[in-house]
Amino acid sequence: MSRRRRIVLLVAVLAQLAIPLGLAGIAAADLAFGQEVRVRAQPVDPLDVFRGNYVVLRYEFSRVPVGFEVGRGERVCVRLHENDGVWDGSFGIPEHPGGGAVLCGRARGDAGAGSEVGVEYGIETYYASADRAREIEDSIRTRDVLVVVDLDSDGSARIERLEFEGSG
Amino acid sequence: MAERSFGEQLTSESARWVEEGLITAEQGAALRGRYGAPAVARSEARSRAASALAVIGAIAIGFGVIGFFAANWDGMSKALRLALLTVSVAGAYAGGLQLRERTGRLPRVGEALYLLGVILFGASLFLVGQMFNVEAHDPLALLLWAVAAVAVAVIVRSRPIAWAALLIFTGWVGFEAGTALDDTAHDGSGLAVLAVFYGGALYGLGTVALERLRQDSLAETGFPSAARRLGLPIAAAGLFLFTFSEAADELDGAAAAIGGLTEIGFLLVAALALTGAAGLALGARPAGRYEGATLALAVAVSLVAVYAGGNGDVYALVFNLVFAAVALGAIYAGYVGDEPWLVNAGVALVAIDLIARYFDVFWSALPRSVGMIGAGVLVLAIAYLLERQRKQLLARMDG
Repeated sequence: MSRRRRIVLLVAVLAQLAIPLGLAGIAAADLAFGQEVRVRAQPVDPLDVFRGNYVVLRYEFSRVPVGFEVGRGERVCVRLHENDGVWDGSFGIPEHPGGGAVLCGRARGDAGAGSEVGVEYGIETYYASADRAREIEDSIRTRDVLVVVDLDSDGSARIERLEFEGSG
Repeated sequence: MAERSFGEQLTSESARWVEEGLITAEQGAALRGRYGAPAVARSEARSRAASALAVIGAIAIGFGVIGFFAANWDGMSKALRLALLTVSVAGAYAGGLQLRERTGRLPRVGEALYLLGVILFGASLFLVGQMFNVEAHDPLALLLWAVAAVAVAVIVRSRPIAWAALLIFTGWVGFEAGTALDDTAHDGSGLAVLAVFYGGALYGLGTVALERLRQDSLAETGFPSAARRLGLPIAAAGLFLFTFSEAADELDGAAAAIGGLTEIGFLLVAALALTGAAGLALGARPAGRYEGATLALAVAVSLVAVYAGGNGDVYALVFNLVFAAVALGAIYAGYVGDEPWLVNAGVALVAIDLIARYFDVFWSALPRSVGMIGAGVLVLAIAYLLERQRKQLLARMDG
């Protein structure tokens, strides 16, 4: 192998090391500097909570009414309000208003003004090891699930952990 | 590049010369015979076995590492997991470089370590995503992985990695299309039509690349050859689905399910397949015109079915004819082009088609037990005829 190709290989390998590390760094920074909010959630399929090693979660604001026309994949934001330490949102707005606790996602389908639309916020999947998954599965059946989410100023969010509160 | 024995070089080079149409299979056999055919054949068999074992080993280790992380998820901190992943990726590539390029002592094992590096890079992307619950556009990770695999395959000129890169890229195309067509009533038929276009593009462009870029380093990476061998079954699988009228019925109205960027991507892949068809027809391959015409016909019929819609029974009949043209055409193209793999692929497609037609036409009309006996007799008859014909064909090709 020529010296030039060895250098190109080195660059390719360094890029392959940098990409996962960079992704991890960005995620860690989001978790460190975001606004922490607790939102109530429930598994999409309570009979088969963990599919492999992840659970698919649904929120009360996973489906919201909108006062504007929205197409599949377009941005929809929800202003969150706190109530007894748990945050919730009730209707969709087209843009981030620039302040407050706002969660933004993408519409799952088309919807007209005055109708409801499903929204995906990027906090619908939670991964865990097989042992932890079993624990969570047992807790989900008897208690309410609270998802601790780190919210960024641009409306993006990332799951930090799951918590469980008394019987629900 | 690592040093290989003369026998190994002659074996692999002569096989490629035959594949590229530079020499005939007889001339290839004569060349190998000139320098000691038994020794070359033994060397070839040993080399293939070592390669296969090394690749299997690399894949097993890759999955083992993923399993290890999954099993010890909570026992390790995120930083430790990241550090182990990084060291594993770097270690695999360093090992590959040492064994294949620097010392050249164990080129097959070195190549497998490169492959392991590629697998571990993909694993780290997904594991980092899981660690931090990242929910980006899911298929993007596969595209990133495919780009890295292509880069490594081109740099180290490795056929197994070229295969891995193409398989990962194909996975990305399928995942992306599946995501785009998700929740539509035509996701199955949309994916099958895309398979016809995508597989056709791989086969057509791969064949053209092999023919025209003989001296180019791209041919040396093994991409064109892998693209042909992967493209043919993918395209055939898409066509095969529409040989059943129930599936062909699904094509009616499928155009409404695709729109915007999805439709642009869809038409782009169709255009690539047609470009491949044109390249085949204009090339110097003995069956090039037939291959080009068949590919163009498959793409055109699929486009008409998607955009014009209509009666599923009629389309099923048309797709049956196109599938037969592909299956028999593969045997013909393999025979006149001295490519045994193409003959074998064509024979397999004919067998699958015959069995499918038997079940499609007679299964519901006959009592179950009679149907089963008939199916068994048909399969045995096909096996007898095909084995006899295939052996005769291959023997004639050998000379």
